[in-house]
Amino acid sequence: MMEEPTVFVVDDDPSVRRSVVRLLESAGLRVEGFPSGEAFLERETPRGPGCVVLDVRMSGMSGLELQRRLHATGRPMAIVFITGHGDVPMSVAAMKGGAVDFLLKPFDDEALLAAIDRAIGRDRGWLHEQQELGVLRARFARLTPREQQVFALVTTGMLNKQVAARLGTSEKTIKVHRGRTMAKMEAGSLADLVRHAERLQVTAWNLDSK
Amino acid sequence: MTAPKDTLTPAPPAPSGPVERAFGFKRLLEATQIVQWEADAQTRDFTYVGSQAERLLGYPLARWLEPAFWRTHLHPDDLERVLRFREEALREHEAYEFEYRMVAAGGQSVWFHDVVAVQRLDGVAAVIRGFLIDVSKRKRAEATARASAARVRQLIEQAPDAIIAARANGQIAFVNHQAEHLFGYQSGELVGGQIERVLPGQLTRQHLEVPGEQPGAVGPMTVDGSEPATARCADGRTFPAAVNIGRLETDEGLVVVTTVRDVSREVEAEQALRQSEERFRMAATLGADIIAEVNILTGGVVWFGNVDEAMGFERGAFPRTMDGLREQLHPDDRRRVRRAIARDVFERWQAVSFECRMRAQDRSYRHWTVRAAPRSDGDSRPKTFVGVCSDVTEQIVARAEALQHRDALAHVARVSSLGELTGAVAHELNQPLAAILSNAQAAVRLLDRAAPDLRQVGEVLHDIVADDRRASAIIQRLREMMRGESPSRERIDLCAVVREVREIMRSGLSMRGIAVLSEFTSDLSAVVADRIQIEQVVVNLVTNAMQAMEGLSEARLTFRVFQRGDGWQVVTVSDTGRGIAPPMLATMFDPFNSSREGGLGMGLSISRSIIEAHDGEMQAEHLSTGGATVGFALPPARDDRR
Repeated sequence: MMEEPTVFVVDDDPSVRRSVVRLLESAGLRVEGFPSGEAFLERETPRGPGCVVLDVRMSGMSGLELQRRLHATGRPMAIVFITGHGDVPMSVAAMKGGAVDFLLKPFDDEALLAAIDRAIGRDRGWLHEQQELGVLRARFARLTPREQQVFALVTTGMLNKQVAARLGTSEKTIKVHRGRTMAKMEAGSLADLVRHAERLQVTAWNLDSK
Repeated sequence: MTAPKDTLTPAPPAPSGPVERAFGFKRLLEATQIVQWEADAQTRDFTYVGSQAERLLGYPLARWLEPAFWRTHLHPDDLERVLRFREEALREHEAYEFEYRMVAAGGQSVWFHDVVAVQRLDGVAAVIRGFLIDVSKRKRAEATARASAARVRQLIEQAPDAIIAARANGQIAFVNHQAEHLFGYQSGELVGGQIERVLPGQLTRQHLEVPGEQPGAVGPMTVDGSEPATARCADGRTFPAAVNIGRLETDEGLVVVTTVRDVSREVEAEQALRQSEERFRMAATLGADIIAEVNILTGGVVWFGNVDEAMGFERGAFPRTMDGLREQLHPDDRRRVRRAIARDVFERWQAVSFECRMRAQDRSYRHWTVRAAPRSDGDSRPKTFVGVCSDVTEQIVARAEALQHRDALAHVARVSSLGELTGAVAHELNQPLAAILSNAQAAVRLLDRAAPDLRQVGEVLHDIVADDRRASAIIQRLREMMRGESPSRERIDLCAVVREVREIMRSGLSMRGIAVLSEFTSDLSAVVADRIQIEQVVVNLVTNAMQAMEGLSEARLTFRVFQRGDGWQVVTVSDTGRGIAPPMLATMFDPFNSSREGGLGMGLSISRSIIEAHDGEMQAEHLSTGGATVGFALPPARDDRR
């Protein structure tokens, strides 16, 4: 879980790239440099925590374009933008796209490192969430279809009697399904179960449509 | 044929009996001025002469009876004629009369009317008898009349106008040479013809008849008031004529004396005037043009076109005098307009055009362009001038708006291109700067380690040096870009360049109320330079001068082009603005150095780059009178330097 983070530096200017890589290395970070967005996308999706230090204006794929592509891959890494000449619309677009920071070259090492630190923290959080969600999904997957239906309806606040009426069975049977569901989902209380349902975005509607 | 009454002497007593009767008749005759005589037909030696003959010539009767008295006392001028006539008459006639002069005892001439009866013997004239009648008085009267007639005729001939005298029946009795010339007839051709021929339908019965109603009936009378008559020439051509008619009662009856003057030119001039006035009115009605005719002597102004309405005044309330107009002029325009009119129209008799602001009733100013030209008939000093005034307020406003738009556009373009420029510059420069900073900070961290990797630090420093060089290379490239890499070189006339700029900037300058003066040295040799770039520099100088004088009431811009002692040619632009603070003088040509708020301070810096690229130099001077003179000097063309 506490895997060492990696900083990916993407800048088409070799001297800038080298100097930034060198700076981050000197600060004790694991760094990988890429001359273009395309080159970075070719790399295997990093599993561990990390962030991207990204130049906005590059020949070929621009920094903003790379930001969009990363979102689409389902591994949206935290990004610290660096630019030689920034304007307001550009920075707004970057921040809306989920950038952690937008730094103007030449930037102070402290500012860059702080931004990277925040970015990595955010990435860690994201990864943690993804892991938790993965566990819940695994648990949810072990439920029988009838248990999933009960899970969805119960977490909307229905009483056992109502759920029984809805599913066309007895209240007693629902009680049994509910107990198994709570056990499989490792929920100590109905409140825990509701929280899991929210994270899994399980709703009655979803179930009905299956 | 009777003697004047006043010469009759009182009648003697009437005789009685034949002899007495004969004697009495003789007495009667002798009492008159009629002299009875008898003479030899061949010699005309008198055999008898009435006693009153003594009084006629002052000779005693005895002298009359001397041989050859008659012949020797004939007036020498009449002698030959008289003798020839007598010889002929004696041969063929029984009686004859003739008139001649005889010289009296006192030397004076006496005119005689001689009535002669011839008595023949065997067919040959033997005795002649007759009467001599003193007709001197009549002859003198006739001579006087003849002389005055001659004088009148001479006058008529010499008169500048054509004169035709016609009788009551319209028949032409006399014409002068001018008349024949005017109507294109040969000498004498008109006399006897009808006056209708040359003045068709003009002379009515009223002119020719009705004599005597006005005693003497003398006096001029035009045919029809002011309208000219139509006169017709021999070739059928007609022309407008002023006709004067005088009626003159003479022994021969009524004579109508008609003077005819060709007035085509006057009519043409009048028509031209009317047409031009008509044109003015048309122009005034059709377009926005208003035309003023100004009497130079009185300063009176006649307006064609509705100037009152145009300026919002009551009818006739807009000034009708030069002085009044001056009051309507914008105070800043008065001197300039007066100078323009005084110099060009009054002194040089030339046309001039100018723009001015004229105050309307609502105290707003209308912009007029005025083209004024003197109106002169030939060489004489013009008495009037005509000003065609166009109200161009709308155009001026439109132009000002366009100008503002253009200024705004230029500003936006400049800012955005500058934005782009700074963007590009920033990006280009920030790359190496970022690399340098990052490298330096990395090096610091590397050195902070317990066991610094000096080889690595060396690499870092190497990169820093490289990036620094890269940064300065970028700046160098930028300067070259600004300077323009390959300016074209040609021989240019700096005066022409400045004139061109002055023309380009004219409307902008006049919009800001800046008076423009030019002092050009003529016959300057050409310099070799990039025309466009030099124009840019001059435009920059003018722009700066204009900005320096923004909002000042007394704004004047002076262009000077001259040659310095060392052969360099100098262009300067002087303004009457705030001048240059002494500390500014040293740095004013540096970039980003502006005295104006929001100014970028690039104009003079770019100008200096251009001028230095031409091996020239910029110069600036604060004027003690206020204002500044900024300019540049360019070296002479190389082949001129040798």
